[in-house]
Amino acid sequence: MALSQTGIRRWYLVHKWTSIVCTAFLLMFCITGLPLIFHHEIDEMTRAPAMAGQVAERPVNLDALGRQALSKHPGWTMMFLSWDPEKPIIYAIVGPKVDAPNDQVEIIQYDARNGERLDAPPLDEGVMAFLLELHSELLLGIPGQLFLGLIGVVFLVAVVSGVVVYAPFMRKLPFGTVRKDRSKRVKWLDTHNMIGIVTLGWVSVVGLTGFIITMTLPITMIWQMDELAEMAAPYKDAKPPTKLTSVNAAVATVRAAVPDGKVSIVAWPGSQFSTKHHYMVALAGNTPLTERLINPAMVDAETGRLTDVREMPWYVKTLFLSAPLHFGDYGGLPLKIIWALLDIAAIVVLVSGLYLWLGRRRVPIEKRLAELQSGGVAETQAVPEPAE
Amino acid sequence: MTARKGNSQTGWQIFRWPLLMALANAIGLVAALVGDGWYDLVSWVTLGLTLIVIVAAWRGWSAR
Repeated sequence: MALSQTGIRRWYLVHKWTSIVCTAFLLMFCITGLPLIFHHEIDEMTRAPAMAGQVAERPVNLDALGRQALSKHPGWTMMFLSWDPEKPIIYAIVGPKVDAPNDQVEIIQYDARNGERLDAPPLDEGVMAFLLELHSELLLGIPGQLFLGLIGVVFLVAVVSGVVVYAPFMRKLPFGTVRKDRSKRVKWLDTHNMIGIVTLGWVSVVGLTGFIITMTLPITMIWQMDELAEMAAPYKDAKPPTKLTSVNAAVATVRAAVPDGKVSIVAWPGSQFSTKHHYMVALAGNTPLTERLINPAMVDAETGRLTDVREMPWYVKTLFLSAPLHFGDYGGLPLKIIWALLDIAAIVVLVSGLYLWLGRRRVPIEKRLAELQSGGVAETQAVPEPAE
Repeated sequence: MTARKGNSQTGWQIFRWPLLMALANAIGLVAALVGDGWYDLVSWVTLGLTLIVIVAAWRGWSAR
């Protein structure tokens, strides 16, 4: 466990420099993340579609719904249908091409009980959508997302090095020590270490899952090359279907074959989540765990025949499970409130770290290492600071 | 750190509390994912414990 002097010096410098690199971004993550924890609740209050409490229910024909969604955009095509997990809403995602990028698509909302179009503000506009775009990709699209993934890696190194230098600092101090009777610096040093080590588990999981989410595009591409390519292989010599079979029938076929699956998404042939020859019908399970792990059912878009139902590979499952562990949206409102308070605790660690760095920039490293190894005592004795 | 004398703590003594906290966090993070109801309650208690320890330590409590 014991580190050599050189070892401590190295780890101290790793902690210092990785922290300097990522602190500004982490403050951005924590501050934008705070309202984003309550994204759903805020949207519910401010932008939810007006829905009648009771309507005469009738089966929704998805083909008709698709035609309605395209009626205002001649020449456009359906890309996806998606079912809201909580409310009776179907989202139709349409675009100029079936593989159009996110910023060109339009999302139209329908009442899942009768297929009526809902009057609702666009999902991808407003303050919360802006905060999400800032939080997840710095408003820079995919390059921004991948860059933030890199920041996530630097952050995880900062966490690990922080734990390593925690040991020499705490040699003579009991766990949880916060000395308020010495100097302001010692108080904040203790606070930084105490909150940092106590929130270690949560912060590591949120950091790691955040990093995994930034890898969404690479993970999707691996899945396309791996499993989608395999499912498309039998169609190697076939032309993409010119006329698509009924999507309503495709979904009904899947529902009949997998009665306990819940249809959550339909991806059109040629879109990001399907082959050129299939509708991909995503099925969610009905337990808290399996409702996050959707499985693809493939329906031949020319014949309407179900060709394959399979589980997602481990790397896609990892991505799916990272979402709740990052957002904290899987244990009711109390968990969200705890998530928010832990987020504030993380902000305290960041700000105190920044304060500690700014307060000692011109001090030689030997002095700072002495401070570290004496549990904050030696350095304060050498350079007395006015106590509060 | 071998030259250090006096009542230095071992690595285990330094990290046993943090490990316990991390374990509580891990249980809390997984519990709500596995089930609803009681499982959610377990996750609120174990993750909420982190906040209680922060407040207690800030107000002067420590492990010794």
